[in-house]
Amino acid sequence: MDSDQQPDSILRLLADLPPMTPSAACDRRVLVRCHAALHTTSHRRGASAIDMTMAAAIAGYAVAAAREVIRLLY
Amino acid sequence: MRHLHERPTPARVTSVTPDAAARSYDVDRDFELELVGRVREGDAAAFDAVHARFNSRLFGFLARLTRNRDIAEDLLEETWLRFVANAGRLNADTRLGPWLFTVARNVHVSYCRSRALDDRNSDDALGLWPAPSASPFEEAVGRELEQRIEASLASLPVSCREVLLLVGVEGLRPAEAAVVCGVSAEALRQRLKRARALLAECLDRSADRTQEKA
Repeated sequence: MDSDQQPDSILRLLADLPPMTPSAACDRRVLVRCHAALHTTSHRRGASAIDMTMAAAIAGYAVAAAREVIRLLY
Repeated sequence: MRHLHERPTPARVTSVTPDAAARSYDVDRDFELELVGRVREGDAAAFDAVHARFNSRLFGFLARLTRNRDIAEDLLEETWLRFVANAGRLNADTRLGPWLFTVARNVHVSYCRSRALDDRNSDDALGLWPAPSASPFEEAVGRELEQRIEASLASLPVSCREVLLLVGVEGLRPAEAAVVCGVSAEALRQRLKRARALLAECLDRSADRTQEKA
């Protein structure tokens, strides 16, 4: 056997190893926790979009109010 | 004497891992990009698709790295949670396989550091896989072969084991495995060469012991 063949046959043996699977309980736990985390993340994103809209509206109102005050003063 | 790794190899032996490469990237790239985009948006169905595709592979990688199913399950959970936590920050062109294996490897490295684990002890590996059943002869022989490979793999230092797992078992390209391990392509090539030689040596010794017993 030459030195080139030997390593490849080693990797081939490894590639033939059977797959391993986690327990069903582990899978369930992972999916529940990850879905909860995804839900929280998307909820947070939604909340942050609402916060930004509110902040923009308040800023707009403040600018309009300031303009009105200036108009009334002068 | 005919040793284990001298099994006749079918067809050509020029590419690194022809069979494993097919196993690794059977993911259509367009579909992968679509999944990445949807996961970034927090799409649970897309997450489920990624989970279904990579869960067993990540578990196998972690179980063979840790040599303990329970610890591997804990690290697997941590890997997926990190994936979800960072989903929004994924690049649009992220390759999921290397990304997930990088996270899994980092989780394992953190675990080893936190426990100051001595990697040289491989006795616990024997309890990882079920004992050969008293079934037909071929099945018993096949099981014995698998167990010898698993035991030899488990006896290697973790730096060698992870390279063999990534390239040999999981079918990552050496360049991708280099990214996962955080080393240069040349360093990975050297490490892979050394790991293959060590594994061949272990398999030889294991074959010798089997023949002596017989």
